[in-house]
Amino acid sequence: MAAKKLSLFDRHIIVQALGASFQKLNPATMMGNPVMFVTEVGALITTIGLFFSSPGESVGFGLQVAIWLWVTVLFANFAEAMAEGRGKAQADALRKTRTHTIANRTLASGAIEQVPAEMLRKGDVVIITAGEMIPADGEVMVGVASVDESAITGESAPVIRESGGDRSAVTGGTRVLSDQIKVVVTANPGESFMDRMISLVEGAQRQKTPNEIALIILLSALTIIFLVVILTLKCFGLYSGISFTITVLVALLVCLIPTTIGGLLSAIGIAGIDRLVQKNVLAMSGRAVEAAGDIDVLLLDKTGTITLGNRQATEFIPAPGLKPEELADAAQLASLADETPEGRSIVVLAKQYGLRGRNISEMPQAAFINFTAHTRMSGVDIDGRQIRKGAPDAVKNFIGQDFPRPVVEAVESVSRSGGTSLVVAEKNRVFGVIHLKDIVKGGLKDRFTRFRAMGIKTVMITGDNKLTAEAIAKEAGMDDYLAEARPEDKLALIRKEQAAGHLVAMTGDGTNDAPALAQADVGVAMNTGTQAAKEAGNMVDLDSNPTKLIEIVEIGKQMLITRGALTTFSIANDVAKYFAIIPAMLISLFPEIAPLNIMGLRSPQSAILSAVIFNALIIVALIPLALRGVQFRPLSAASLLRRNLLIYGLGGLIAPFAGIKLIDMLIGILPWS
Amino acid sequence: MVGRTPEYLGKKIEAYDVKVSVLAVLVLCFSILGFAAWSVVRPWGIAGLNNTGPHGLSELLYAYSSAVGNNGSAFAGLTGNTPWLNTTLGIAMLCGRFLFIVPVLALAGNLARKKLVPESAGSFPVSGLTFVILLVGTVLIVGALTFFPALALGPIVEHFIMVGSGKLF
Repeated sequence: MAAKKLSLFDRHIIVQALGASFQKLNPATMMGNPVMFVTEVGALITTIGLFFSSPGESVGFGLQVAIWLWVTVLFANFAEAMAEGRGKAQADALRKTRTHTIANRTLASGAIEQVPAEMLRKGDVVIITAGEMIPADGEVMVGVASVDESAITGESAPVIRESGGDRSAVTGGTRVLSDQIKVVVTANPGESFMDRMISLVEGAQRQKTPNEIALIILLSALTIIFLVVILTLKCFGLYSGISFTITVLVALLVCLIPTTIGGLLSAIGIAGIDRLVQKNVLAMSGRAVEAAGDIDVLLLDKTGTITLGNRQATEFIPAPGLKPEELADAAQLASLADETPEGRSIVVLAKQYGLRGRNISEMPQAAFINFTAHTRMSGVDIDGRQIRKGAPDAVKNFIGQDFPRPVVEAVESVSRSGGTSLVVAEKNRVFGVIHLKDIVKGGLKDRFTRFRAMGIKTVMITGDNKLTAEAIAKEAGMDDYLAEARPEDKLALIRKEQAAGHLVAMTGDGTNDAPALAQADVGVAMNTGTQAAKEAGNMVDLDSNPTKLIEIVEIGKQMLITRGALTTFSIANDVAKYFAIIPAMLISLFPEIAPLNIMGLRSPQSAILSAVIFNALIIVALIPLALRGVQFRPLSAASLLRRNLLIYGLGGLIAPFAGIKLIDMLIGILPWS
Repeated sequence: MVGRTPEYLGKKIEAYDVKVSVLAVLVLCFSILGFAAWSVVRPWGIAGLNNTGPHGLSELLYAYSSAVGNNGSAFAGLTGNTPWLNTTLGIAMLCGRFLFIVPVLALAGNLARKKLVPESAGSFPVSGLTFVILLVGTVLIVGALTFFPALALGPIVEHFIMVGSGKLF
């Protein structure tokens, strides 16, 4: 499932959503959304009212109001169906990874039988050979294999899966490219990781998130208030000598209750999860997406997240009396056969000292010594010389004497700056020090600065010593660091931050990360990680890119802002609708009220109709905004509030005045009016 | 609107808090509009009125608003001493004080129990001009939305009639 960006106007989705809008008219479904339920009841009442026409009211007017009320309900349903349709399209893409495969199940007797993948149960053991599809989620028991996981990650490079350790989880629907592995199945059909994701994305199992529930309570309360307002208005009207018709009262009610946000609310929630899926992140619940917006502490692993995975040589510091070229020459010789990224970076750096590129094949007399965990050195024996490079203490043992003072100082200064030093030496001569540095990923510093402006603290987690950690954290522009961290330290740090009232997000992939992932408010497990890590977290990143945590937080915030902005807009809209409808209702008895008709609408009926039409159309007009989300800017809360209040508050106050006036004018030029 | 779930003074506002706050608002809306509407459609309800038309409605709306607000004043044009008005104004006053206080106390208790969220640049700012505008705007809009239709038939229309045709009630 490559991160596919769906067009907002995908024809297939729109056609399906149109059909679904009518199916959703079922009152049992509508009950879940009190605002739209009241609208539907209102539409029903006006429709029935058509057959009992009240005096002084044309059937044509009643019919138009009734039609537009139904359209309002349909538009709201359409918004939800659009969001669900987009989710379904994503889910279908995920489901395509599921093909019917035949699994080789091993029986207790040791015999192998072939069964369809759907018949596999938790605990079954299957054997998968190169070229075969992995039939179900599982854990590698025996063997090591390279697996093509492009079906779920979109990443074409194969990954290694092996028994034990942190890379033992395999996902159903991916293909084994080499070797043979024995896998114990960890999920029953329909309960696998992917199945749960699909149903969540489809919205089938969507539960309302806490913030959504709070907002629905607020919207329901507003609906009740307006019901009271309308009912009492009927009484006040009777006292004043006006008998407001049911049609007019229902029209006013529907215009006042927050139909805009009521109609778009679930679409916003579904679209939030959908946006994560487009980033190849699967959230276990909508709640997690919402929590992401509240995060104010980010725990980021150093390696892979903040720094590129590998250290690189950045500097040669020669021993006293030597030229840098001499050190570079020795370092290059010692690293020629060193295929590690560090070794290659030394060769690259040496070239900058004007050295001719050497080739191993030119030196048949050379014996290359590989790095081992025991010697902690690598190098070359050539022409009777033994050149070695390695950790300072290992090289010291090798040469059997202390380093000259300046070399010791160079090693210390490299550590202070957060780097790692390698000493290059031969039997009785020290050439100097190579400075290996963690390379901080580009653009992170800016990003962290913006995060700070948003009130989010970033903490770097690393197994490095304090000195190195501090230097890198400073270079990356992070607020804090946790050095020499063990998994339990991570968990302790999360607990400490949470006790202080913070919400913490982290990424992890190992089984030993699982407790911390479970404890964190947002725990993003890497897809390459173990099953335990994936179960513990509440999101999974299919691309296994820890930097994505930052984007997850942004999507969470964007969803919450969209919800708040549209609520504000919806309520601010009511002011204009009052100025359209109230004068229209009173003018027959009190012509003096005319100045209140500040929009100068043509007739009472046209005024009421314009307000109802605006109320319906604004839902459709805002569907793209609800699905895409408002534009996210990393600003402080104060400037965000100012900005959004101006756009959605003031905009929501003004827009309907213009909109209703425009609709009124359009109705005016219709031939039959 | 700042990309976080709502919080006020470091306390998260959740479903329960919203529920009890809107309950408090509903009590006010019910007791003012409800009693006034009941009064105007019954002969014994309008028996105390000395003025007709929009002014009479203003008198009743004012009396109930004032009673619910625990003030208890009324226009001189309203004879408050009728059995209906004595009873309902009294009940409105009780609602405005005690029915209102229950959800507010529940809200306070629940908020006090909550963990404090430390303030940061990402917290919703509750001081400064922006918040003042937001708060005043919300109070005005929600308040206006609740009472505007009733007021339109009362003082508002009365004003326009007075300005337009010089007619008084």
